[in-house]
Amino acid sequence: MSNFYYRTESIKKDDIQNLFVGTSLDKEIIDAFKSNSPTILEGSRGTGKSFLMRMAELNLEESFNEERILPVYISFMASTLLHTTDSFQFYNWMLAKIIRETLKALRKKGIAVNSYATSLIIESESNVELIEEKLKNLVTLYESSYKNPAVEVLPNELPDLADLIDAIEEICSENGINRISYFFDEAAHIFRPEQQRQFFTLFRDFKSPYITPNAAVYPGVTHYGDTFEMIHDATFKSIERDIKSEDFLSVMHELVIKQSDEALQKQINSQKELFNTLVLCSGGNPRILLKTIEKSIPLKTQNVENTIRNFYRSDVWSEHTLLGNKYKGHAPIIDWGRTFIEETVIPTLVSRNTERLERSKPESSLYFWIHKDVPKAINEALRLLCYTGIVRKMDSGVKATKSQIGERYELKYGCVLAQESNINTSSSKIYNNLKLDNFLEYGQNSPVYSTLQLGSVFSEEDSVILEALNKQMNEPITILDITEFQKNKLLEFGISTIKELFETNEDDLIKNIRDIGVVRARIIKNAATAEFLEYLSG
Amino acid sequence: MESESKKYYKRIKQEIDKVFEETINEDGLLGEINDLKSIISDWNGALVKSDENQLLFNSLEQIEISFTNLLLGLYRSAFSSLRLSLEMVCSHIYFSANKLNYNEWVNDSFDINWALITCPDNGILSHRYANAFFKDLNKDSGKILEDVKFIYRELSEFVHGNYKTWEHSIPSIKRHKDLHEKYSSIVAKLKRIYCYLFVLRYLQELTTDQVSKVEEHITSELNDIEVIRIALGGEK
Repeated sequence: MSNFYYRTESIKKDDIQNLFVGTSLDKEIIDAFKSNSPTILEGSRGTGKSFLMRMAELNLEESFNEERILPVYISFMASTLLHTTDSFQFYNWMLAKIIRETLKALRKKGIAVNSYATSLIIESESNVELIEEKLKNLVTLYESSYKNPAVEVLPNELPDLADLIDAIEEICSENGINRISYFFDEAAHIFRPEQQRQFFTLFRDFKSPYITPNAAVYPGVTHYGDTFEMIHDATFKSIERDIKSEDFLSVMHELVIKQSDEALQKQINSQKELFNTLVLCSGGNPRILLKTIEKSIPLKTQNVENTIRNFYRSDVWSEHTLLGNKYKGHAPIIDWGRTFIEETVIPTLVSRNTERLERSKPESSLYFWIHKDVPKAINEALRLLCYTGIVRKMDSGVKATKSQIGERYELKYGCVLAQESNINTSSSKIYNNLKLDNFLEYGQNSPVYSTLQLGSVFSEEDSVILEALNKQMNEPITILDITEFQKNKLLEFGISTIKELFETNEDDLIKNIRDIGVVRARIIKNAATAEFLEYLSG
Repeated sequence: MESESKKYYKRIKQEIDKVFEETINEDGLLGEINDLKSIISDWNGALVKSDENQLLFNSLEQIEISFTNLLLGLYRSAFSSLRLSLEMVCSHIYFSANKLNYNEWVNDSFDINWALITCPDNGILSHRYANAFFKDLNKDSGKILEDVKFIYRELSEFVHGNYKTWEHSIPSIKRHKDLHEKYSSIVAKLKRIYCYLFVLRYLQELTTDQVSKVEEHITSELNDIEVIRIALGGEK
């Protein structure tokens, strides 16, 4: 029985290299991580971001004696456990974690020694300031700032980020280290815009000739803060795999073979077509692929078809729905996303494929297009669908009917194929006739958006939450990110709080305020919605 | 005029210096030893102060002595001190849950022994122990117990002078690459074992502040164990 690794964290460090199968994209990403240019890697859950980071880390570890580049891997996973409303405290939490992990890496290279652990002679050299002590003093100060959230810590009592950078530079130059390459995994938590902003501010500022930051983020991380600019401050890479690329099937085959025992390898090699169907369905997501293979053993047509039906009709949604339970405030958006895909996009794509595959020039599609100026909440719903990997944002600035501009998305192959009665034979037809310019269109004011209501988000028991929300919603509209002209127009109409704006629909804004057309009304409403969503993410 | 005896020991020093230079410049081991020591000292820093913590300091000292011996090419002594370090960490874990035995041990009326520590029914990696301190680790402890026993046996072969360990002890001081590698691999395993023993015994009792002092060690050594990963905020 093969024991698959669904998560990189489950793989012991020594085994990581043995399991690596490098596509040209993977190698490109690892090279970017190892370079002196800060790199941000985006990918949905299970696509292998952590794995590539670990590979880059291992490569640098192996070449340390020649290159003198020290890798430091840091997971911000536990940030979900950090409950503080003070963004300053989150920033310091990240700094403390960076210092602790840096120390560990320095110790493991024999560069720093633990002050406790030098019992034989170090006391006689007490005038020497150990690296450990230098960095631990900084940690203590940062940690004291977030461990007692009730106690206000004045920024001037804390070391500046520049102090940490100075300390690192000093350690590097004294020990012949060319630079330290940081790998921030699980960075910029998707549901917390403020944490995202704080992270990217740190990412931008935590740089020097001796420091290269790298990060792995989920798709849909969009709050970069005021100072970070992707184009100037990082190299952006995406790990989403293209199912139409030449080496896609062979690479995924090798990846699975490496984790399979002999019996399974035999089955896979004798049932190549069935195996390929599972690979395509997964869209190149190794975690999903391994899970669906495990459910299909022994690999037979009936088992594979049953797995695809069960997994891509229901199981694939379980993680998405769980998010709604975990982040209750988002439930309406998460539910709308599922309904939109299941009741609108999938049936339309399936019937369109059936009809167009019969044509003399057959074509099929997994794609849909969304106008760039849709309501904010719709964007949020799509963002969360990307996060769980149900859909993939392919590109922006795509022209549709009447030259309207929007974004093109790809639905997971398995979700479309699972609707077919004869899955295995339909698969090759759909796959071989995919046409990128064959997509469904959802315009600026598509009626499908009207079913998303954000008003009824909370239940009655959530009185505490409601109270806090009310406070936020009673803030004046002057804090919103809209123009002075728009603010004045709203005030003239009698809208002075975010709540009043949130409760006024777009049509009323257009009807009642002069010079407010469709576009401006949407922009103004989106600003209020953004505030509301930000609160839900908190 | 220098005595022959003095000359003889000065020659030994010259040989030792050669081994020392070669060994200390060997990649990796210095860092691994640092890391092993940090695991013990950081856990000691995170734990509530108690008398039996002294055993952790003693264990650290034994690691220092062990590694110094390795640098000097005194392999048998290096393995022997490393075994003592293992015994001391394990004894600390045992006594932390058996205060009565600890006080008796201090008063010389109780003997701690390896069989007691590794006892499958009542030892520090038994189901009983796991059930009391970290129930979800019940099924992982068996594998670690096997590793602990294996390492102990490996180290003991040098302490007891088993026949096969004498083939290396030709009468000269020189660097033995195979013994160096054996030592490195034991240190790597000890890092995981020590972390596991501390996690099993203490993790459920620690506050968030205390955990933050040892979190890097736990994630680095034991992240592949799902229940531990989840306990630290990671995912299934």
